[in-house]
Amino acid sequence: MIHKGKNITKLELSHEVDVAYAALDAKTYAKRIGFATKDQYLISTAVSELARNIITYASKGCIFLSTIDQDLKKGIEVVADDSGPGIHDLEKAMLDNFSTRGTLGVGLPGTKRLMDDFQISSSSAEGTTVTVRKWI
Amino acid sequence: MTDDSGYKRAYERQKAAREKAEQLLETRSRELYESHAILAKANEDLRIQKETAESATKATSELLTTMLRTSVSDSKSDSIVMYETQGCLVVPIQEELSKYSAHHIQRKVLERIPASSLEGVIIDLTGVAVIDSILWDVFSKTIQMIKMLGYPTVITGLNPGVVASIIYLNVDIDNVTTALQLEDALSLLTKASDLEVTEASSAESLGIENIHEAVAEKGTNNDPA
Repeated sequence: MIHKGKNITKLELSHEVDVAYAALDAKTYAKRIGFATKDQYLISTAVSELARNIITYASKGCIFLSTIDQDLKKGIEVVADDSGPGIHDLEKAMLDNFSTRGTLGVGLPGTKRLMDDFQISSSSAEGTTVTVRKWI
Repeated sequence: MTDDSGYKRAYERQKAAREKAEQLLETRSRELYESHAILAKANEDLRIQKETAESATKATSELLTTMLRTSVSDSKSDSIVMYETQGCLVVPIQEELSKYSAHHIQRKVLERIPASSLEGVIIDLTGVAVIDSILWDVFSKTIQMIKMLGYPTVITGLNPGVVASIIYLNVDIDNVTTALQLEDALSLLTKASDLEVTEASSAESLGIENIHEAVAEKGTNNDPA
């Protein structure tokens, strides 16, 4: 049972420059809840990838940071939410070096490797929601 | 007549009582009015104080936002800090980058290179905390472009967290030479240079002299003992 929703921070994304701010905010947040230095970097890079995807494919969206608990574990949950066109083929999107926009195509699979848990849901009607977690 | 005077007295008494009551009422209402005025003024003062406090808070938060905003490089700023040392072009990057500012740096470095005679280029990423796949791609392509112009590039200043992130992202790192610190990058690029050898050997001889002096001193100190 994961206890959710503590200390929710909302980061809004509408410009390219917001990507770097979101990554920095995530780093500060991870530091505050007690992540080791290396993990702070991994989390901020993951947030940077998710934020970059939002700006590239949906133009705007939000990232929510929150503190979660499970048994005696504490962790961070990052929810990246947009109302963009959605991802047509989720299986392909999770493959390394697959991209529809001429980028490296490591964003989603890379984010999965940077974090501990990874969930994605996407539809053309509701956009894309990516939920990732990392435990201390 | 007696009745009349009694009636008149009663009337006078009543009149006096009414006048006194009216006077009392007037005093009270004036007091009330004054205290109301004081309260109204106090209220107004409080409102002004609240407004001042609110505008101060707003100003502080705006200032904080501005301070935060300046920590990420703005692609509009035209000047990029670069300098040459020991024949190497050093590009220190001191702040977080947007994709556009990374492209801007790429353009500025490529413009600068043909005008210089160089041993190589050093990109110092000490000030950058987050390098995601897109930024890495821009740097990696910049390095390939510099290579095609005829110069090697060394990236320096990557911290362990950034390195771990790059590895997890599984981006291509084969074409990139890195060094821990600026000095290491400089010696990688200039190791064939005569100047470097002369400096090193003179430093070495100086070191040996110092050791001789130290031994001599130690010897003189030991003699009396």
